[in-house]
Amino acid sequence: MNVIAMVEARKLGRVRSALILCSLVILSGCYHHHHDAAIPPPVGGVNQCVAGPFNVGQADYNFENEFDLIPTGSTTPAYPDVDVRATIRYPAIMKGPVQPIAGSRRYPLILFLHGNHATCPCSCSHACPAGDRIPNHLGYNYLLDLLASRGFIVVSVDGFDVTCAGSISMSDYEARGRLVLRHLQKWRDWDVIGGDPWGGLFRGRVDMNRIGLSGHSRGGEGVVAAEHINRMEGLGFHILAVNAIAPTAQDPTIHYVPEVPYFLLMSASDGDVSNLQGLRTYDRTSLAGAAAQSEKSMLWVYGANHNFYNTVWTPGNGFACASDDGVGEGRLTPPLQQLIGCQTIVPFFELHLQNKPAVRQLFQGDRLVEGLDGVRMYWAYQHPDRREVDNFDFGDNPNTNSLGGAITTSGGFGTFDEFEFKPSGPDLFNASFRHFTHGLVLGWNGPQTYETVLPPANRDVSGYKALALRIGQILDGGVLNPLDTPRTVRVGLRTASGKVANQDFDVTGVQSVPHPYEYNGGKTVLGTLRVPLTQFRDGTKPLPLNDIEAIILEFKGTGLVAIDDIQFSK
Amino acid sequence: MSRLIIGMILGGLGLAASSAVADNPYLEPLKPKTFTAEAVVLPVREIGTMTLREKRTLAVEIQVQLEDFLPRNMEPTLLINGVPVEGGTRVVRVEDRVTTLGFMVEQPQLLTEGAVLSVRMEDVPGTQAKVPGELRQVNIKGLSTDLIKERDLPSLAEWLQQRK
Repeated sequence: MNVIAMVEARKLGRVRSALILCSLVILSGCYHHHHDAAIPPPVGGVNQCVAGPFNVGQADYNFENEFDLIPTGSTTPAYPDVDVRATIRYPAIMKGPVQPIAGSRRYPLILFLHGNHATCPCSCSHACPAGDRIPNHLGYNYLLDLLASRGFIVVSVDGFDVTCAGSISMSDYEARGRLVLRHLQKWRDWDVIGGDPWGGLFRGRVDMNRIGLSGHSRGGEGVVAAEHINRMEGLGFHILAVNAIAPTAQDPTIHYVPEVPYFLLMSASDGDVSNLQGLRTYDRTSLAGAAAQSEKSMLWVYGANHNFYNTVWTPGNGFACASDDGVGEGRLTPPLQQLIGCQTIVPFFELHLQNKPAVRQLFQGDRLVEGLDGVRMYWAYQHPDRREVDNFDFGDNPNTNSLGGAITTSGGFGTFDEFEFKPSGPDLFNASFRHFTHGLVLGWNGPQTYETVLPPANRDVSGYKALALRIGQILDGGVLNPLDTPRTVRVGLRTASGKVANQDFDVTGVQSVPHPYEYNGGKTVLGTLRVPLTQFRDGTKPLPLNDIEAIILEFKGTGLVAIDDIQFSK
Repeated sequence: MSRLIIGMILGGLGLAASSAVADNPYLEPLKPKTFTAEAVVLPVREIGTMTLREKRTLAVEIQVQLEDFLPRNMEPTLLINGVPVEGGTRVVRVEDRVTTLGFMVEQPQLLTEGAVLSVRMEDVPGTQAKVPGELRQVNIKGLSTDLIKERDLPSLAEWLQQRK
C-alpha cells in the first residue's frame, strides 16, 4: 500500500465505526472527502491492550513424559511419552512468580496453543538439550500478561511432542486437541482436589465453567479439535469460546467445526498458511440448518503475516529460527500486528467469559479500537439468531432465494450467476477465492439494481437488529474494482405497502467491503456488511419492520462483487 | 471481463509473489534427496461416537528425505506424475540436516510403474522440486504375510491392482 492509500485507509478506519450515511461505498477513500461534513465522530474507541487492575502472577509446570497419546480402540501409542508443560499468568496480589491469587473468587481459564515450528535450532529434531529447544509457547506472553491483568488465569501450552511430529494412527491436529484436553484435566484436578506443584495455589480458584481456547496456526486447528473431541467424547469441559489465529484446516479425515463462539483472525500477507485454510472452518461453522448455532466472527487484516503474532517466531527478539514469512506490500510491523492481536483476542474472551456484551460491537464492525488507524482490515460476523433470506447454499439458481422468494434485477448486470467460492473444484468464478461456500457474483458497468423478495410469511423482521450480508470485491486486476475509487452501492428495504427507505436513511459501511488482496497469490475474501435496522427510516419515523417485502441493492459506477448470506440478524 | 483474462491476471500476480524468494525462506524450493515407499496399515479411527475410518485399510507411505526442511504449518504436497496426493503427512524422522516426511497414498492407481514424484507447497509454485528417481512397484516394501493374514488385508500386489 502506498502512502496515499495508507492515509486514505486511516480516514476510512475512522469512518468505519460510524456505519451510517447516505450510501454504502465499496471501499472508497474519495468518499470520505465527498461526505466529510456528514460523517459523525467515531463511536468511542476502545483500547484492550492496556493492563487491567490485577497484578500478574507467574508459574510454570513441566511434567515430562507424562502420558502416551493413544488412539481410541488401540493400545499402541501414536505419540509416546508426551510432556505436559506450560507457562501460566494469573491475577495475583503481587507481581512475580508464584504469588497468592488476588481476591477470593474463581477466574475464567484460557489455554493457548502454538503451531508448528522448529523444535530445535533449526529443524524438527527433538534431540537437542532442553535448554536449546525453541520455546514456541512463550511467544504469546504479551497476551497472557494482558489477560491475566484483566482477570483470567491464562496458560500457554508447550506442544513440543506434537510439534514437527506425526503419526499414521492419529493426526497431529487430533493430537494437539488431546494435549489441550490433558492440560484441562490437570486444571480440573488442581481446582477441585488441589495437588498442584505450588501447594494448592489454584485449589478452588479456577472457574472451570468458563474456559476459553486460543490457538495459532496448527494450534488453531488443534483448539477447534479440542472443543470437538470434548463434545464428542463427553469429557465435560465447559469450553465457551474458541479463537484461532491464522489456523490450518488440514486434518485429512475430518473437518473440525466449533459449536461455541468462534473468532478467526486472518492475515492477508500470511506466507505460511497462505491459502487461508481457516476460512473454510469459518464457513462450515453454524451453517443454516445445523443443530448447533453459535456466534462467529472473523477479522481479515491486510499486511499482517503468519509469524508476528508469536514473538518467538518474530525476528529481532533473540530466538533462533524466527523469520518473516510475509508477502506483499503495506506490511505491518510486529508491534502493530501484536496490537491487533490484543485489541481483538482480549475482548473476545471478555465478551464470552466475563459477560461483557458491550465489546460485541467490535466484532460486528461497529466500533473502533485505538492504535489501528491506517490498518486496512475487515470484519465478518454472524449472529446465531437470524433469518436467512439467501444463503446460496442450496441449488444453483440466482433467481430464487433461500426463502423461496423471487430475485429480480434491472437486467444489465454483466455477471449475474452463482458460483463456488472455493480455491478449486468445479463451478469457480476464478481461483482467487479461499472460502468454502457458494454465492452470487454480480458485475456491473453502470447503474444496476438487485432485488430479493421475502415471501409473506417471512416479512416481519421487527425482532431483528440488523440487515447483514457477506460481500467482497473480486480480484480482477482493477478493471471493475479499481482500488480506492468511489463506487456506490445502496442498501434499501421496501415494505409491502411500497415504502422504501430513501436516500436519507440508507446506510454506509465504508471499508465494509474487502478489496481483493493483490499480493500473495491474490485473494478474494468476504466481509460482513451489517446495517442496523434503525437506520432505515420513513421520513423522520423508523421504517415499519413488520412487513418488509424486499431487500434492494443498487449499484453505480463499476464493480464486481461476491455476495453470500443475506440475512436479518440479532 | 472474461474468466480467461482474470486467470491471466492471477497468473501474473503469482509470478510477482514468487519474485521475492531471496528475502523469504517460505518461498524457497524444497530440496528432496531421495525417497522410499512402504505399505502401512491405516487403523480404525474414531472420536467418541464419530467414526472417521470404519475399518483398517492398506495404504502406501512415500517417505521423502528433504535437506534443510523448513518446518511450516501448511503441509507440503506430494505429486505423483503431477497429480497432488490427498492424504496426511508427518515427520518420520530427523537426522542432521535431513528431515524425512511421510506422505500417505490411499489411491493405488496413482502408484504407477515409473511414476515421477515431486513435492511442493500448495500456494507457491516456485517451491516445487522433483524427487530424484522413479517409482518402482517392486521397491515398495510390503507387509509381512502374517500381518496381512492377521488383519485380513489384501496383499500389496492385490492392493496395487485396485482402482478406487
